[in-house]
Amino acid sequence: MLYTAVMNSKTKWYCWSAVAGLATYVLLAFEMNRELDCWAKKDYATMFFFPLGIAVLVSAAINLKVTPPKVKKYTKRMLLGMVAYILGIDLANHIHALPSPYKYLLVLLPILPLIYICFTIIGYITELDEMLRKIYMEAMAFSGIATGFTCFTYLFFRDMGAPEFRAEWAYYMMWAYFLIGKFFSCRRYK
Amino acid sequence: MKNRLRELRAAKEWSQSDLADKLDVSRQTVNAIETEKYDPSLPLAFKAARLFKLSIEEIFFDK
Repeated sequence: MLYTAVMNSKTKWYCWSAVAGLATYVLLAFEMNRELDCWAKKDYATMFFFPLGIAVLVSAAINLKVTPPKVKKYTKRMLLGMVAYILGIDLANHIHALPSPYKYLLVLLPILPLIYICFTIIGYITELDEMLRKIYMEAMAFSGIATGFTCFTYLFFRDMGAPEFRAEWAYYMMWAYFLIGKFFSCRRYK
Repeated sequence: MKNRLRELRAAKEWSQSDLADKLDVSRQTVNAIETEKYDPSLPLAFKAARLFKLSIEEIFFDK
């Protein structure tokens, strides 16, 4: 009875997408560990963060049916861009060994979808409600500045003997700063 | 910046969601403007003025 009352069709759909996302995440994390031996190499970032992106994609694709039309348009474009990006990286990884002077142009394969994704994000933010747009812009500005300064400051620490960090941490840090910026920006206006 | 948005909305018996739909913004934005946490852009202020058939200064004003 309670189940029927709480679970309308939209909620059910959200639950299924969450389950599918979680399943994708767990399967991919195991697969990454099996393929790349991440746990033994202490490469936790690859093992835990990379599957997160794919899991969000799967969850968003399932959610498309119940996504508001305004957001649906951009979600579809993001999915398309992300799939093209993943295929581009995969293709570049598979054919970079070819003996060709133009092989370095392969780097463009994942970059073109990235440009498309950037335009999609900009389009989405431009169409947002003006207060939300301000919140996103402030969060992005905070994220960009904070990431830049953290990376720059880290150079001094590294020269003083701090452990080496892989460059991809800057990407995760950028999102963490974005969420922190968004939290404080939301608190200010809501 | 102070405003009379809440008072004008109440006079028309609109909810925040109703006003948000008419101004084409989110309910959160209407709430933030009413609680004076967010100052609307000029186009939004004009939109609100047209909706209530008042001038901008009659809705939004300094202390």
